[in-house]
Amino acid sequence: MSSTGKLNQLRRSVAVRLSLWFTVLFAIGFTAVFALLYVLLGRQLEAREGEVLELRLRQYADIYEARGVAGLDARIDEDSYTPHGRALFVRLVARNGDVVWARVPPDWIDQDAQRVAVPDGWGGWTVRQTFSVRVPRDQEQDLAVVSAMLPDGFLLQVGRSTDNRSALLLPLRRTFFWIGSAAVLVGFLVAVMAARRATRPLQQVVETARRIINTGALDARVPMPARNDDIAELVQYFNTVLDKNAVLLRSMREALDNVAHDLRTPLTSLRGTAELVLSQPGIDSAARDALADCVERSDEVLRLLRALMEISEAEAGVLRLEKSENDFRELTRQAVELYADVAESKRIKLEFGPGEVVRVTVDPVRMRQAVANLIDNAIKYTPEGGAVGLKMYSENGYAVLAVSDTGPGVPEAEQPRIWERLYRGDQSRSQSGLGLGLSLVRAIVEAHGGRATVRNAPERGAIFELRLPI
Amino acid sequence: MRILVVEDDAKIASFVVKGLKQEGYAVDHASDGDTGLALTASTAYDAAVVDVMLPGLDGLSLVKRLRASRAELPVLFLSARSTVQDRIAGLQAGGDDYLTKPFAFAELSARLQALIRRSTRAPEATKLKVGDVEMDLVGRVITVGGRLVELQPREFSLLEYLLRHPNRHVTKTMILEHVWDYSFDPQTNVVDVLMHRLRGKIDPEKTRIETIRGVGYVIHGKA
Repeated sequence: MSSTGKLNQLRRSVAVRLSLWFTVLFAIGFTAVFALLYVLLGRQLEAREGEVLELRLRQYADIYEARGVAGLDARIDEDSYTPHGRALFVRLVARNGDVVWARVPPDWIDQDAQRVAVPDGWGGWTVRQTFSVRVPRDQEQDLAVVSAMLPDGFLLQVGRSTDNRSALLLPLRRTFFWIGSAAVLVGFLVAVMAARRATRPLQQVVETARRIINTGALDARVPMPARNDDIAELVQYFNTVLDKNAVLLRSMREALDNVAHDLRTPLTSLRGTAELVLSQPGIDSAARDALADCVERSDEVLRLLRALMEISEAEAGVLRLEKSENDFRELTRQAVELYADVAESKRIKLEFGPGEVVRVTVDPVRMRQAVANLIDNAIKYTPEGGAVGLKMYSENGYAVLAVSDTGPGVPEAEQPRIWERLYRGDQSRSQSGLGLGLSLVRAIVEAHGGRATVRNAPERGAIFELRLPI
Repeated sequence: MRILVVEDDAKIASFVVKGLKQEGYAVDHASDGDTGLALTASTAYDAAVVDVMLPGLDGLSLVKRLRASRAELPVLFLSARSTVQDRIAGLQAGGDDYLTKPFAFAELSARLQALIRRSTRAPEATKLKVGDVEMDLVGRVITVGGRLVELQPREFSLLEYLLRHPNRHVTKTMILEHVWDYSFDPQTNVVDVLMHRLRGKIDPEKTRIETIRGVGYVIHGKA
């Protein structure tokens, strides 16, 4: 799960994608430049070689004209002793194509001589040593030949094996391969680093947004990048939006706080004054009833106020949650315990089976309240002698609590609406309560990143489900 | 016993002062923080009830200054703010307890009494007796009029709470917090149900535990 997630993250990373593109383009460019260089260098070498051979050809032609074959032979011998001189292949070819005379570089002649019998011209045979000449011509070596027509009708050819490729171009190619690979690798690493640096502000935008969503830390801001480019502009605007949001949320929270405060103060004196009179002996029963109503009603208003505040805050995303790691099963067990006596008094079987620990990160007080409200709701709608069952299990990274009852169930059309504030279905008219219990459940669960749903059981009753991310 | 009440809302201050006087306390009232602080400097109090939001010197600052000079005065904060953070801020400022408005006067009185008792360090009792109801906290044995009564744990806990506050009003909220460790109202009245069962076992004629509508319950010393 985490390794594929990492891979996914890498694939989605702009930095990596940019680096890969950069590297591919870099490699193509590098290869193209080298190929051009290689071809030009090869041509240049060939041209220079041609010039050298032409020079020799002219020299030899002049010598041949002045001193004949013997002179040419002597000159070639002379030349072959000069340092760094390259052995040349020189031959004279008659018009009919016969070779009249030839000098072959010693390294062209095969080392192993063959002895063969040849006719000696007088009808007999004589054994002579022959050598085969191998003209080196393969992939690495080539033969450069220039020829000139001599005034006596012979063709003088001067040739040389060119080992440019083997001597120069092949090592060049090898060097390119290694340097090229290294350059592409270094280029990729540099590109990754540069792209990461360039996209770090984006990363920080993502991290900040995630932190705000996960922890509700409204004061989280993206650090301004050092360079003042378009990404810096994005970061600046993002922070401005966050500032505005924070101001809005803060003023909304303050407004809610003020409303609560302004309502609580008169409620306190109303309730307190009535209670004080009630606790004194010797008041007539009519006054006592009226005052008791005052206290009970003010408690009801307070409950309503509190629930509405919490729902509003949760829906606005400003509910302050004291999150910690808790065992969801234990929280549920505590809520079940709260209703054990109530269920018993209605002869309802309230059951929550044991099971393994389910760790969730929640505000324990609020989550217990959400679970308690669900149980309360289930007991309310279950007729005497019925059953309310709770089940808890983990599924696809969620902790699921299912509360099923044997009540009348919730008509399909009403299922989405029962979560709305102050909504009451037909069946609940006879029941007491403010119609905020389920809204509060949903608000609390959604503030924790979870979901609350309802469906009808196949046989009878409703099944309410809470899903919390583990 | 002398108690200082620092509260700016005249009506709230009036019923708190009146109620505490009925309980037998001597009460002084200050309607702003500076006056309150001045009073603590001139008079020796056994406890103080301080509103958090006050004109001038606010409640938290008042108690912080108070703690700098007279560390031992027990302080109970009153506040219209109910969040955990507010509660923590109150306790960190040096408050000993924190009560959210609106509150039941019975609860304010019970908490004040607990604070004063804590500061005078009364020894813990091992036996509780109110009228003919006796509870042995060590052996967890209960007798009513000499007759042994079996109670399940929650019923025991409820009765213990009542016996610890004889002849005093006990609210449903206080019971809920003590018996279930719950700090919010469940919609169905679970306290009524438990009280009904406890009465069935120790007080079928409803002579020992009285229900006062709008206030709560009281266990009477006279049988």
